[in-house]
Amino acid sequence: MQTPVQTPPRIPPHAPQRVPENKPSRPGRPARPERPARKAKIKANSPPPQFRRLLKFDIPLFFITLVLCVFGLIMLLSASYFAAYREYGDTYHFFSNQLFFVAVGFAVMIGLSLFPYEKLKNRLILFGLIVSSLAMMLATYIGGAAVSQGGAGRWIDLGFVTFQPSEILKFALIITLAAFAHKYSDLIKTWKGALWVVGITVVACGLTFFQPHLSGTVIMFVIGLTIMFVGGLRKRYVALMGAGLAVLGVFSPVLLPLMGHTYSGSRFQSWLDPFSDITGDTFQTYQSLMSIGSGGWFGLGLGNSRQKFSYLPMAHNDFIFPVIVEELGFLGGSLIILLFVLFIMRGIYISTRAPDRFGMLVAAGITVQIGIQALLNIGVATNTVPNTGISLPFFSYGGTAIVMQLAQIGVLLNISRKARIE
Amino acid sequence: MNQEQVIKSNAPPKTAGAKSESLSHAPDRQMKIRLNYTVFIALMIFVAFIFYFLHRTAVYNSNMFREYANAQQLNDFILRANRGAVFDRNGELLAQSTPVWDVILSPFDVIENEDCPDAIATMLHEILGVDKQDVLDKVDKIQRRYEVIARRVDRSVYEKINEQKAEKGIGLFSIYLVETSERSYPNNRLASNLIGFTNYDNKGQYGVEAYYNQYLQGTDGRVVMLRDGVGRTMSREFERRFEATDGNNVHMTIDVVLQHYLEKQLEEVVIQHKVANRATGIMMEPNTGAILAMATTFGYDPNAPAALSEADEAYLEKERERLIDAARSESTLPGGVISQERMDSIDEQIQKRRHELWELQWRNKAVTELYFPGSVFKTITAAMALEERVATLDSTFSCGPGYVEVADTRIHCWAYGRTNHGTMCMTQSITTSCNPAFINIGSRVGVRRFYDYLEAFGLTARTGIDAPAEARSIVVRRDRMSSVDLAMSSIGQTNKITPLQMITAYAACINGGYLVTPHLVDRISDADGNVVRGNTAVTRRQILSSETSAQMRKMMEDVVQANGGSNAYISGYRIGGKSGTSEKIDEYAPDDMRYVASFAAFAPADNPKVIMLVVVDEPMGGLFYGSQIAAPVVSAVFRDSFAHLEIFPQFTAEEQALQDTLTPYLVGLSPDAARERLNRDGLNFTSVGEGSRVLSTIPTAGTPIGSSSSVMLIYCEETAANLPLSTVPNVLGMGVSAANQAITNAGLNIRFSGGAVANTNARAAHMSLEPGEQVPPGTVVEVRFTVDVGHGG
Repeated sequence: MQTPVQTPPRIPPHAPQRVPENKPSRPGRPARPERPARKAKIKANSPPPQFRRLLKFDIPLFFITLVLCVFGLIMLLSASYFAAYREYGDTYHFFSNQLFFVAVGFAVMIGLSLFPYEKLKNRLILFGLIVSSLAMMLATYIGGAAVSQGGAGRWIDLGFVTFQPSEILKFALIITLAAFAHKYSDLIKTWKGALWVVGITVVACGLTFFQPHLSGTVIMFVIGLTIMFVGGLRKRYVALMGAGLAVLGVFSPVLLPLMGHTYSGSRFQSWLDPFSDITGDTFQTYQSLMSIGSGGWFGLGLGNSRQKFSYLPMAHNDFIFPVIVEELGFLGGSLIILLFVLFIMRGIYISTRAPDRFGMLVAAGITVQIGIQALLNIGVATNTVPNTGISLPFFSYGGTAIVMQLAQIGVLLNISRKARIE
Repeated sequence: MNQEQVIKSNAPPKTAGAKSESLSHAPDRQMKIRLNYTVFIALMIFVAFIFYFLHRTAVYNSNMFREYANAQQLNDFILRANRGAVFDRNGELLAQSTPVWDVILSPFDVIENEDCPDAIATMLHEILGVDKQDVLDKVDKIQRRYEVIARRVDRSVYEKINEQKAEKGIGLFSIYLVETSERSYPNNRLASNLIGFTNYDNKGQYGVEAYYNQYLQGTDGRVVMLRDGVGRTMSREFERRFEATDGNNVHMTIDVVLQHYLEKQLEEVVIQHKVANRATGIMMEPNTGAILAMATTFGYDPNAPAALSEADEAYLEKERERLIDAARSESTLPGGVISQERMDSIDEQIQKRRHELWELQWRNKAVTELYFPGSVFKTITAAMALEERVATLDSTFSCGPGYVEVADTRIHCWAYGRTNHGTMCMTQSITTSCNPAFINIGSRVGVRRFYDYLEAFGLTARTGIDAPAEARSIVVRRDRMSSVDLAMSSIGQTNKITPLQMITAYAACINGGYLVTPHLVDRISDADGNVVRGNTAVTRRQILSSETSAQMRKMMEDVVQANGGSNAYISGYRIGGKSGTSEKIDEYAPDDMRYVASFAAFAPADNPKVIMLVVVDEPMGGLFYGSQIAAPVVSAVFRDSFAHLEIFPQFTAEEQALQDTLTPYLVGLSPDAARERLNRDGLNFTSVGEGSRVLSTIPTAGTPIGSSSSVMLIYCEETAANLPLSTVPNVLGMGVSAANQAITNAGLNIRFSGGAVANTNARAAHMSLEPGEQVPPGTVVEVRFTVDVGHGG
């Protein structure tokens, strides 16, 4: 496969034929010329034009997503049936729920893949997104609607469904930063612009952090940093942020408990020594490591995990990866990681070929968001990073999460429709 | 990022020149490079880290984590191997293990499975008879998973509980039956010191149980089961079974019949002579070393090895009281209150004493304890001299002035001050057990050769018997052996050996000169009867020529038959033997001496089938000579055993007269027929009442009575019931004929016992009925005669 890294030089950044692509509505702009090649293709092939149009997105990305979802459902069934039976008396409780949401998610994904992503930066949509996400975030602070789970008030209960508003906020952050960097491509290179984007990111991070929701904050920050950096923030500011972060990191064991994260300090300790308190603080990590260790090279075989029998906490959720390694071994675990690496590579590939800055940054943001979340989850399971309570995209049980992820991939697919992909 | 610099420098035309919005909205090179290089590489570095950690956990440290995981996931039950059984030489069961079950209740699972506690309690109450409330109380401990309801229930209970569980579904997951095994010893005390017992871990302690533990115990199996995170056992598909291998069976060389005879007589002698430090006896096949019986009195019941005898318990209680009294009188506290520390120290002392008593009742005295063999050892000294030809049967020895002086040390003869043995031949020397004579014989052998023989007879090394904790003899070092040591050794007073070593050396003197290895176990077989290990007779070496050995047999037989029979003599049998009485010179002062009385004998003298040694340690009843105390034991055991050993008597006419006959069965016979039958047996009779048929006899049919006894024929029960009772006369101390006469005159019958009946010096020493007792006429009184002339040394 051709790696995206080699491609940029071959794409002239100022190629004239790409200019008129997305802005037909604006006055004083030439109408978007139809592409003769595409028309000819449609004519040449017999399937209905609507269907052809439907599939005119990046097939590899779609395929990777499909594989991840199917794989995820299979592993979810394996990891969850015991807990489902214990808690609900129905072996398929979690599986069937997840199946439903995956189906919904795919519908949303296909739908959004047809929705022109450029419209996301329309004032109305953008402000709607920002206001609604902020409102929901604030709602978690007010309580009432908030559901406290795992010690953090990060959920909202709408009666028929509970979801994390930070999921929406992440998306809003991506769109907002991308739109800013798109519109103010020169400003962003100045300290003023830098202040803006950093400010936006800090607001999003802060709202998440004080929920408190450390893992969400980390992801929020990584998204912000990625979009800022790719969007043209000067390196000195990036370096400055890095330095600031490093200082924060050093003092985090002291700072985090002061700011409401009472359980975070011990998590650092647990990370350094996963055996220090195997019935308390390091219980989750220790059980996770035992599951992974039980796997060896090839695992115990699909369905044969023992740790899922009430040993591994949240085996169908945050700790589904250890079950996968226990059953499918190092190789199975590696396959998952490689699938996510492929996803990242394809996301970056699409991003690189996006027709405009907005598309590129949105694509990069979505790719990094899903990618970093997967890597952090696996990192937690393998004790590469401290335990922060983070789910594995496409695998962990969680309806709104999977719909949200697939929706964002829908946006990514829409970008891919307009990207120059050979 | 050189490349980026380059791109930047190329950029101005785009950013500065083209003000067009569309151009500025297109992604520039810098963005693409940042995304494709910096961001991507950063993510891949993270991926690399994850791979490293994943590999480290899943592959590199896999075994460690898998072990941890197994430790929490697996539940294993031990499948107890059934311990092998122990049999005697005739297949009589001595020890066996039977599976038993502990009934365990898991309150946690009662709650978890929503079992009805009441139904469980009722069921357990009905089957086990346990208190219902007790069970309910245990169910209330809901956090517990292991509450013992009953221990060691047998198979029938086990099956009943399982049946109920399956039928009614009561306690399916909360009542467990854990299999263990119980060791039982059907013969209780019999041979307890040889068999040993098992501890709570089913491990053998003492005796054969300990020595052959590895053969007996088998290999435990395991059931490995998977359990879930809250401790419940998962389904059967995860179960792995490793079956247990049952232990092998041990077939001992002992014979419970002989063992019983030996123990019975030893117990009697211990009681009769107030023996302070127990008695031990060994019966052995002299040619093979197979132990036929071996006992220490008193033993214990291996079914309850920690139980002490009543006397011991009473002693401990008394000792405790004594200590408390002592403490109270010493107490400085008001009212003689004893401090807690003092109390603890008293309890500690009592506990220590209890352990000592346990040790005493558990150990096998014949193997684990040393003694001075005394005069029995003179047999060995004589054998050395004969083999070395420094003396012959015709050599003469002298008692001298009743003592002998060796290197300024005066060693007395045992009879010093009473008689002087004068000048004797070898056989007479050994019959009289004259010390000076044997010191002379020992000196003729000399230190070097004497020591060579000590080694050859196996007295300096362990015999190698298959019993635990065999003691190592204490023998004077060869280079330190002085002439006094030699003199004392010649009469058995210097070297301390085990009774087993003594009998093994003694066997070598009479079995043709071969030193055999004594053994308790004949073979070990597996459950299918295949022999796993066989202990064939091991002859270690030949010490004496067969001629010397034959001379020894002859000489020893003469010793027993001297003067018409010693206490060990049994008429009709050819028995050889030697008594011994040793002073415990290493433990007691001369004015408070205690003794060890012993007797070694074998039969038949011409071709020994059995050799026996009885050692009575510290008889305190007045008598202490081996010939007085140990010889009658040997005689009694032999008399009981010979038929079983298929050793048959050959009587002289004189002896025949003293033999017992059995009272014939006369009931229903006419007076004439009964009279004729009695005449044929040489028995007298008296008639009671008138009648045509004998209704009963005194003694009843089958009772052994002495020849020429009188049988009372009863024709009329009423008359018989009104007959005046006879008074048992006191015949103790009388000679054979006087005693016979006294008892016959009283209208009673006498039965002779004791080896020395034919000896003119024999005196009645023991009667089966108390003198003065009123008994029906014709009753048999058994009188044991012993030779009252002490044979010591």
